[in-house]
Amino acid sequence: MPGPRLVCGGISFHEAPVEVLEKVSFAKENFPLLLPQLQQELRLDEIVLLSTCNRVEFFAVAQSDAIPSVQWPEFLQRYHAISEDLSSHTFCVEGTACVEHLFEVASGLQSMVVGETEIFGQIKDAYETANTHKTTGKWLHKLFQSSFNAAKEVRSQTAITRGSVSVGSVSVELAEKIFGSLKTRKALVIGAGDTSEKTARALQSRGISDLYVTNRTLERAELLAHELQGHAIPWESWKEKILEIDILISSTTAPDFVLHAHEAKSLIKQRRGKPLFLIDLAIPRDFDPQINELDDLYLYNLDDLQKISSQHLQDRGGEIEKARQILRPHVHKLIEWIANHKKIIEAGIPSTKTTEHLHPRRPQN
Amino acid sequence: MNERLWILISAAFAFASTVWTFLPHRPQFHTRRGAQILLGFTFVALTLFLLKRGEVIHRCPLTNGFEATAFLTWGLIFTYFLIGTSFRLSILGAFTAPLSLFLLTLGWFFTKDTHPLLSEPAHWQSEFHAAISVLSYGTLGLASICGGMYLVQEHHLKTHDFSGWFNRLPSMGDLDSVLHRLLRWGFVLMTLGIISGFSTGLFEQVSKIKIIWAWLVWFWYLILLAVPRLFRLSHRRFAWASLLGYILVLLSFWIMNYLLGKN
Repeated sequence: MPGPRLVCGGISFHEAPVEVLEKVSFAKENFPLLLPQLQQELRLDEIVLLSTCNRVEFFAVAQSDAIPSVQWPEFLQRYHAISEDLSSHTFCVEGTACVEHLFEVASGLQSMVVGETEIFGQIKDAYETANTHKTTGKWLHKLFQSSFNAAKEVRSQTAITRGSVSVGSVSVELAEKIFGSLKTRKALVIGAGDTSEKTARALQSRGISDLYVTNRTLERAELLAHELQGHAIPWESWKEKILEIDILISSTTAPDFVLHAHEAKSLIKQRRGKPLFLIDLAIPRDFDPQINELDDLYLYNLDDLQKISSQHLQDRGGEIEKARQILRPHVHKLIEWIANHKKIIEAGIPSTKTTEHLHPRRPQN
Repeated sequence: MNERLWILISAAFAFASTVWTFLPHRPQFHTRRGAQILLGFTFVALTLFLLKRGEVIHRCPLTNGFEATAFLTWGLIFTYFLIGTSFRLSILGAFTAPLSLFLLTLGWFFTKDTHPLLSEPAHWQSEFHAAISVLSYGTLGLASICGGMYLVQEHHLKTHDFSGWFNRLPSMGDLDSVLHRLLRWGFVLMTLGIISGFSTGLFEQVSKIKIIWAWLVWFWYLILLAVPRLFRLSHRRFAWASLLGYILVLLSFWIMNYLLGKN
């Protein structure tokens, strides 16, 4: 009895531009019909399909006569009615390379933002969806369970997920380092810029209790406040509001500082030492940089936040090799498990080296 | 086995815990757990020293600077295990270990003879007074460690430097809250210690300098707790005051005992 022929293929941000990725993604509601269709057309015994903003990939056990490296791009073209030849954008690998690929994707090593953990949840969802539609079997169960264990170990044993990598999440991280829990904290947004809105949303996702918005045009403030479920306050009274808030986000287009160091000094006296986190997202600056020299005031501007996020990305990149070393024994363990079940195809599972020349792997970032 | 050997063993464990904590590139979990276990051994060795010493002198081992420093270190680690668990601040251990090592080293400079300074036989009031006072200094010591951690974290956030301890330290908000609680508890214990001191009836035999010192320390902590309620005091200054205040208390305690021991 032949053993499993583990195959995976796909198209991701590594190979394809966003315009192509947008065209080839699959809606989740189509999965009940799509999964059996893929199984039939690509001649697969088992399949899990993963479709996210950055990748559309399948993990499967293929029948011996299947040629997924050819059938996959053809299927994508046919299904999405795309005339463009997609074969140059897709990849397909088998055996050990397939196992390695899934483990790396689940661990966030292949993500656009290295170490992001959202992909782990997305893979779990894809696996559960396939389970629901009964397109998984013994081999994919083992493959995915092993990938979850491997990814968890990578997360706990390396710093690959450490440090936020967007302005919003860096701001949240800093706010939590200053205040601890944000549940009772209040924030004020000055100006209705896109970045400040995202930052405010990120803070809201961590449960801040109240959010105020002010703008020179009250209508714009009210609009943003409505969207963020906050309260709009008139431009004239925002400085008084500083006395009761904990986080101040600013992104106005004012040519001069909207808050000077001497004003902040007198305000902090009235706050009786309560710390204030100031996030200056404006160019030119809204807050006088000297404010950071005052006790209990913590000022970060856009450059600072971007530097932190770049540093975190760099740090995460430095953990990739360490993560691969952690994954290696997990890959061997799975391969051994397959061997022990005496389901290996005649000559055994092809190694990464032997499959790479047949199906070139996409470049690693 | 000479009971002093337990002090050396506990110092060795405190040293090992310190080194373990500061070893680079170890996974965080193992760093904390390993350091905690070693600090636990420090505590056990110190407990054994205090028990053995108690057997030798037939009273609570607080009769000279050497014993008092060992008891103080024991109180500090005891409070750490109590507080670190309650407030989920196991990272406090990273700072408790080096401070314990420092105190044990400092204590070694005192005379180690077993002649009690007090000629009266031990009675429970004086034992209680001494024990509760030492525990209060342990709690205040832990508060000063919290103050130190607050200052390190504050420095990171002010200078936008996120290397070193930034990721390992708790938030400033949490540290500030624990610092205030520990100071309040330490102050309550110290007050209890002073009140219980009145009931011992041994005032005549205790050096006036020691009594004045104890009152000054109590007064210092009263001011420290009262000032933020009455005046504006930045959190950074408060943390500095708790840290430097405790260092001054320790130094003056050590100098005073050293000089009194010599005379």
